[in-house]
Amino acid sequence: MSRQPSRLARLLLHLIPARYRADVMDDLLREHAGRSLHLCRAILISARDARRVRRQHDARESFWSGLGGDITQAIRHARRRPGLTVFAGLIVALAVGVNTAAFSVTRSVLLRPLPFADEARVGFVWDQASSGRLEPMGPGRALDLGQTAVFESSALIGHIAFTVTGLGEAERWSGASVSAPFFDVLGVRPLIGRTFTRDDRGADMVVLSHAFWQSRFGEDPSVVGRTVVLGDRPRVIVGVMGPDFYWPLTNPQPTAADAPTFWAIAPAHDAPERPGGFSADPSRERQSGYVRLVVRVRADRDPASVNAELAAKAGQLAAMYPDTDAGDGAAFVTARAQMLGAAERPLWLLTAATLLVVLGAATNVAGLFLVNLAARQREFAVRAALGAGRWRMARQFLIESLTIAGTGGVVGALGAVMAVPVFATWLPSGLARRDMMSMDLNVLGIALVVTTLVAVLAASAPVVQLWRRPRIEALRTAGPLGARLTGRGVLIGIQAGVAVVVVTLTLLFGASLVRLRAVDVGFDTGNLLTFNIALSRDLAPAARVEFYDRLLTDLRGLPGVSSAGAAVTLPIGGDDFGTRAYPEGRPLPRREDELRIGYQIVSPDWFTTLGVPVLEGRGLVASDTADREQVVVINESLARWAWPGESAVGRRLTTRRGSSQWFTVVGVVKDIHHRGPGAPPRLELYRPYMQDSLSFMAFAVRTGGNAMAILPAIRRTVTALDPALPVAGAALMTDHLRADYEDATTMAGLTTLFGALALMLAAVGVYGAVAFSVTERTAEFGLRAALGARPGAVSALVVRQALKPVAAGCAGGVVAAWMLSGSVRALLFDVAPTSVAAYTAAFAVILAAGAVAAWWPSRRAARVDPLAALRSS
Amino acid sequence: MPPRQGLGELELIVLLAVLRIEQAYGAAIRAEVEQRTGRAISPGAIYPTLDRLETKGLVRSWFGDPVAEPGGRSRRLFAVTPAGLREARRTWRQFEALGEGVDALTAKARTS
Repeated sequence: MSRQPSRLARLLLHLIPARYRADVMDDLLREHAGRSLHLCRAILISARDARRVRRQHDARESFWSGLGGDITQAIRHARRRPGLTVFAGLIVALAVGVNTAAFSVTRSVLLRPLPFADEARVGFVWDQASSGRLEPMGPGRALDLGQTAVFESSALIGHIAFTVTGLGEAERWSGASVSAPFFDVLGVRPLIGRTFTRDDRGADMVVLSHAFWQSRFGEDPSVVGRTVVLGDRPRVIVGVMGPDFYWPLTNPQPTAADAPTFWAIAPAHDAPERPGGFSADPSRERQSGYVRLVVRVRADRDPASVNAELAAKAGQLAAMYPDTDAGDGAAFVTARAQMLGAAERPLWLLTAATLLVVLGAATNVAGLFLVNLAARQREFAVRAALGAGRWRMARQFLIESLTIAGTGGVVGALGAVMAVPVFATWLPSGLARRDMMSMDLNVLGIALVVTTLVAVLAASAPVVQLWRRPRIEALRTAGPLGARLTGRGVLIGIQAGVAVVVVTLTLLFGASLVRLRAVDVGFDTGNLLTFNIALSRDLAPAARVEFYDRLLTDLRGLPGVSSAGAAVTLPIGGDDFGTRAYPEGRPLPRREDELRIGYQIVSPDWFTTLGVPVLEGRGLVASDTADREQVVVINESLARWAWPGESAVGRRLTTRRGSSQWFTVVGVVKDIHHRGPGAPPRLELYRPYMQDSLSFMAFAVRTGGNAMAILPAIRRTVTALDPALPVAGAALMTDHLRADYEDATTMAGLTTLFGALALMLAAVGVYGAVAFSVTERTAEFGLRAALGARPGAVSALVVRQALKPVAAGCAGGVVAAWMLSGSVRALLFDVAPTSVAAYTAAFAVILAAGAVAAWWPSRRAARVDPLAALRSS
Repeated sequence: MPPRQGLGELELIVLLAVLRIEQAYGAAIRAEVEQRTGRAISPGAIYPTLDRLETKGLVRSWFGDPVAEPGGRSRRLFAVTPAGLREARRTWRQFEALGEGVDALTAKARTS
């Protein structure tokens, strides 16, 4: 007969570990019943002993002991549940693979330093128009701006293509003409041979790029020292740059396309060579903007202060040369922003997307583990009853999680190693340093981090679940009646939100691509073969025109050719020459109000060949020769701007401010998208090449069938006219167009991939959570069935309850996507980043996917046998 | 999972006591130890030790019928597993090996 212990004794009992309290109390009460003081003393002794015994045990067995056993057990568990293991492993593999691949891209492109000495001090200077637009400048102005005190050194760059002879058949190389200090400014060394120094000013020397040396010369080192005729001048190849020397074409709007294959020293006056040849002293030329200025900021100056000094210098120049330099500012752009700026945003977007995938994968695996925990509740309850501490069980979970995630991680990392080269070719060819992508230990380190992260996150969910639930209760029943989705609700809400964000992006980029492809560029792009011809610059204008005439006549005579034409710059994939237009009888506009007009020089039948309709007046004809009236054809945009509401035909305009050299408008043609479908048509004027010719032209040949098949015949035709003349850049117009779609296609492809991933992860998450809750609530569903609930109603109940957190997550996702949408605005074409349709569709898709994923396991709830369910609880 | 380390002294004593008695529950085991060795073990020491032995797989436990008294809980009963038996023997042999000739030595020490 045991009497109730005193209040003091009850208090003291708390000193005894909870696990043994009841047992110890039983024993002590029996022995010391009624003798309160003795009882208290005995309790204190027991408490001391319990701690002592525990301490001895703990000393003998550290946290790490039994680890081997836990691992074996984890593997045994993994094998006993192959479905869970494979599924969870695959999710982790996917997350790790995608992340590792994406990180290797980001690392190669953005995180690696540029290959210049003290990279942060290297930058570019551009002319800045009052509109803020950055432009190349004239050589005279570039030489002056390079003298700004804040710069330690500077060099001029011009992009140019040369016809090359002296190496067998004539070829065309495109590269750069640079002033001698170019390589000194960058502080780079060549792989073999040497680069230029200041003392080489005006020397006939050229340095080759590594890629070109590989592809054209098969890495033959003896090429150094050889002389080649480049643009009519014999020049010595003095060196080859290393593979790390990343140097794309530099344009005001950062791009990373087509690196130069060579760098040749500019003539003695330091003005880079250009396609059209020079006036007497090009270093005095301040307006023809074809020069890029690369500079090194002095070590003792802050690159941030450069723009202020440049503004002061531009002000001085405006005062010195009011005719040419007034109104022009100058802007400094760091080499990093210049060369990698275009890649930055898409890559950070990619990184963010992959992090979302990791988050999704972790929550998913956590969800699967929870389902697994539900099935193993008794096992863990028994282990707890047998004295397994919380930490011990947490460790067990972590090890199981790590075992599965580790296997998945290895698979994912291996997949990434194989996928990165494929990934690299799949990225836009214009992406900076695309060819320098590599896998290294840093990247694999990320795989390890991601794997561990997923494992820990996934293990934490069941651990929290386990700690919250009173274990004794779990031992008594398979699961408490009416358990609701709480923690798991948050998990699937997050997943749904993530999926909404990514699917919204997918839809935005998909719509953008569709819109872009639907743009009518204004001419027929099918069966149109294009190539470039560059004549010697020494050829007289009359001889040039004669050559172009003969070549076009011969091309038209080829079997299968329906028409042929020529233009100085090819629409889509060609250059964008600019000029000004001043309509006759109008006051001269202020300089800052001047518009840039697309400048085109074409053959008479250019419009027929491309299929550009003449809207008014006539096209250009063979009789528009140099000795006749100077004529021009303009496009509808220019006509509307110059003579709004009036007919343009018969009116006159000039392209030089204050010039009396008038061109009579003889016709108006339809607008075409010269700068590609993504850019609006430019205001454009066309001059006949008979009256205004350059030494190079692009040719377009329209055929009845396969246009590429005609290329050999074209080569023979050109060689027959001039054996030293290369046919360069032969490509179909559809190829140029495809290259133009590339960025949009990549973004759409990438987001579709991630959208599918996120959708799948969300669906799996919902499935796991609902399957878990259905198992847990078997008794409840049995009761409902026993009380007469129809299977359909039970199923609907489960789906409805599961969709609540999904819908909440979707709403959160819409808000997040809305906030993120601003950052993708620049990447979208003709689609508002806040397009309601995209958000609504994403919401609906995720909700529908969630409903299907919940409905599948809900059928099990509907089929619960009431008797069996009630018996089992 | 076999224990890596040998048994602690208290563990061996409790294990042997469980082996000796038929209805081995907490209080009975303590009584057995006290009677045989004169050493009192508090309830606070016995239960953690039994727990430990069970985790190591050396004893197993089950709940017996409730005790016939008001509020009487069912007793947790213990028995030694085959692994426990092996472990007890192994440890006992170690003691035996160490104890060989010790009597003679102690006798000598006393006479000198």
